[in-house]
Amino acid sequence: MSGPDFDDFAKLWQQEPDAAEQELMQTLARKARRRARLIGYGDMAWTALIAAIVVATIVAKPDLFTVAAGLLTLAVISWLNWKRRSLRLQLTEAGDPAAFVESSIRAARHNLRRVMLSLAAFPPAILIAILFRISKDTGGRFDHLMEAIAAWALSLRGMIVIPALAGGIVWLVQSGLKFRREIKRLEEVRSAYVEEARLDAAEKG
Amino acid sequence: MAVQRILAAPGVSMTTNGSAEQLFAEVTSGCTGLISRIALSYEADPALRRELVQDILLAIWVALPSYRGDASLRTFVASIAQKRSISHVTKRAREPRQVELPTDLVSAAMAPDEEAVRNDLKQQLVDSIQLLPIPQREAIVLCFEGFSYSEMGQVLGISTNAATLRCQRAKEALKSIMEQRL
Repeated sequence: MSGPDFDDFAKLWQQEPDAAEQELMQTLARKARRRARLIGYGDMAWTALIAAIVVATIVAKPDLFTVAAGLLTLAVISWLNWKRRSLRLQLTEAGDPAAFVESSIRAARHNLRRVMLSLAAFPPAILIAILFRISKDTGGRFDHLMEAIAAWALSLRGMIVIPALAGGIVWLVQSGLKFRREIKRLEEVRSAYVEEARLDAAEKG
Repeated sequence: MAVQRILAAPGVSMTTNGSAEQLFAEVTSGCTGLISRIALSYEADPALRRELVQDILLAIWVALPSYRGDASLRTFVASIAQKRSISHVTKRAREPRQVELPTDLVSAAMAPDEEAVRNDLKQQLVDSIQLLPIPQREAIVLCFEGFSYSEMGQVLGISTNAATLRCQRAKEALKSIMEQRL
């Protein structure tokens, strides 16, 4: 390399951050610690709240079914908390970078499937809810269905619910696109790792 | 390592809350430069880089209870920082735009010539590192940070031999990019 050599670049790279940058890092560290603690306290508070509700329900109605349902709820919450914690750990230390990319691809695909399923289920669920409502109002008669839907859409409730639902659909579409982009980039990174591993093997051989 | 760790079976949480606190203090006192530079190799935008650094610190805090002490704390931190950074670049809402720096930026700082040249060279170096494919970028950053090939192998999940070869390729690639830019 003409001019500076590799050692010069290493020295340049290793330059310690200036005082302002170091102060900023300390501030960020304090914030991260606070955020982590808040997440921990939030988890604990949520679990305690659910447990208190379950216990209060059992005390108010102490029959076999309530006790069984309450215990099952507590067991599910404990399991979910444990699972969430191990997932968080897995996200931060899932083996080597290539394995991390692989598990990130799986997670992103899972998220995309969840979004697509929600998008597929959303319109029929809304239609069923509207039909159920109209059926309730008309005593099960659907003679003037389109008029009834139009009347509901122009009512105050319709004017609130429809934009909210449209917003929900837009959000789901955006999330789907975001996950697709993420998967595409992760697959590119995975290809780069595969290529490097191939070169490693070729050069060793 | 100044901090005493409790030994236990693999996969079991190895540190108490108290020692996790101490380890985090050790990270914030001794590894912030490393974290900041790893983030720099992935994110050019200063505001987004601050977010990335915070994510890295949070991930380190969460992962510290599982730190077994079978690698140095620096290696552990570098490993988490690399993975968080990969996650950051793949989750970005859109591809980063290449922003032209204003021409008066260096003179506004009134830096002496030598310092201006050094700053310019460092910027060229950072830009070139950011152009490397991620596996080579990881290797070159660890190399610059003075990690041994064995430690690099631990962070990258490859053999020491493979780490040596990858580092060599990364150096060649960086050299080629720098030659084009300088």
